[in-house]
Amino acid sequence: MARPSLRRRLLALILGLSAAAWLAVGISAYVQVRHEARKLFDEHFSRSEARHAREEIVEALGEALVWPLAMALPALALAIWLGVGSGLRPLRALRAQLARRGAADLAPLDNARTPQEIEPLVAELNRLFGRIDQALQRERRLTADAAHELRTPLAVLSTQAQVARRAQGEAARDEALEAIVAGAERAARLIEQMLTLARLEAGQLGERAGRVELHELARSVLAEAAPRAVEKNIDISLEEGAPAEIQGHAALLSILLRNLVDNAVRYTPAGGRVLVTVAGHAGKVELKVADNGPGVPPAEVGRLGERFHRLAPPGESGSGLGLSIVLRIAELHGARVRFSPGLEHRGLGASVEFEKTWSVPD
Amino acid sequence: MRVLVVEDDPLLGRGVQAGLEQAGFAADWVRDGIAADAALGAEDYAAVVLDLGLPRLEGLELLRKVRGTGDRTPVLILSARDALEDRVKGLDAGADDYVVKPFQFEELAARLRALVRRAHGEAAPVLSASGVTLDPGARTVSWQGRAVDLPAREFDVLHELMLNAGRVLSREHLQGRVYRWGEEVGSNAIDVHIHHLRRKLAPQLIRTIRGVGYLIPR
Repeated sequence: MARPSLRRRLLALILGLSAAAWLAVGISAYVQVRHEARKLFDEHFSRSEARHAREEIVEALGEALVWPLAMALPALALAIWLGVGSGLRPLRALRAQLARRGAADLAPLDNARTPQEIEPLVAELNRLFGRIDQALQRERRLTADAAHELRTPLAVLSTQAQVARRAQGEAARDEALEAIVAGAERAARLIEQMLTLARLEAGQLGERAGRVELHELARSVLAEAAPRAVEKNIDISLEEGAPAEIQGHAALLSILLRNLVDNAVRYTPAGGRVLVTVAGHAGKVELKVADNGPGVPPAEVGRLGERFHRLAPPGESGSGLGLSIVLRIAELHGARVRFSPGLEHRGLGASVEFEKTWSVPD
Repeated sequence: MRVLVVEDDPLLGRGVQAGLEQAGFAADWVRDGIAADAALGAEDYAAVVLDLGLPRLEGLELLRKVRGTGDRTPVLILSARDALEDRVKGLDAGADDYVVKPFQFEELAARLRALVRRAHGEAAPVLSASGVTLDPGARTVSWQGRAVDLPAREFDVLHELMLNAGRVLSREHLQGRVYRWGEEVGSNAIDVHIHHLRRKLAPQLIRTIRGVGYLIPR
């Protein structure tokens, strides 16, 4: 089906209106002249003469009225066609500007000479370009960061493999091989975390939201984390309290809490303490993980949750993504994450505050 | 040749140190910029292998600080950052070379040898003086065309003397260039190495300047 053409529609409209106006003027002139002519001729001429002369005059009048119209209409049509065409020239220029662009060119369109009717459209397009550009830059940064972050575990594997190949003694080779195993585990964890974050960003949430009881969730997450904590001689516990239900995705909330607990266990030195509490009050539920580790310097608190930003604790190396994931999952649940001093006025406390009335998108 | 490895990642730092040791370097390893700064102030390294994302004092800041004090030690940046901008910034901050992780030890070692060679104003990869030729890459030595087998540390002492041919090197300097931290070193270790070198090569090759140190004439 042919697309409606602005040019053709304007042409038809203006031509039709002009012809109708002309016709109306012509008919009214014709009727009036005929009437006057009849009165005039009937007074001065015989009946048959009068009719003859009258018809001749009226005929001439008719021709005088019709011919210019017939001649002028095509000229008018041409003028309209060309006029509308030139009026649409800025649109063609815009089209050419867009056609010339590469996929990466998201600079604003030049709208200095755009007519005022089209300007809002161009301005809106430019705003859209701006938003796409920002999203692209975010993606590019993430990709660059990810490439950088993946290179380090790969470098560990490659380095230690080369060392193992040339190792002279059994002990040196074993040490290098153990480092390879640890490096591979780390790479796997990093990839896992990156995939989780990518899925969250893409809005692939897995199962549907439902009622989640946070104590129950915390019990299962802690059961999983406890062996590692015990191995490091860290006292890890869950404070008992009243049931606290919220709307949410159980699997995502488990990831959130696991990341917070993992961080606490990782950063707290041997002999330390990690406490998880769930408390409901005034339409809100607070999930808190606190430790008595080294804490975070005040200047660094603002950067917590930045992708791949990690506070290097001696001998530990995380993916640098754990808190980014926590923040994203909290955001999906309409929850607020706050950092404060942890236990005994030291360490770090991370609290996630959920609104009971929040309904989570599926 | 003694080098300083600055790397915050424990698995990687340990690996780089071990790999460089296998390639014949004596490598010290520190994990942050402040420790690296202190080590560079206290010791005399032939070269530094520097990571960029360091805690406490960032790699580039450390580099600028060290170059600011007039330290000319060759620095090789070993980083996972491969962007053009990062490489340019690193070299412009005073680094002499830039290698992107992951890397091959053959290349890293060769680049370090080249850096040390250039720092001593040498262009030829094989050193020779008074009838001795020494190939730092292959770690081989020959005396008047005949190959001589030397243990690692003796090779290092000879290498250092030949790099600085025509200059007197003190016992402390040689010790600092040959041994890394944590190695058991006897008080007369360098004298013993010199003694062995004279026996295996030629008695008159290494001159003793009493009270000052040792020298191989140009």
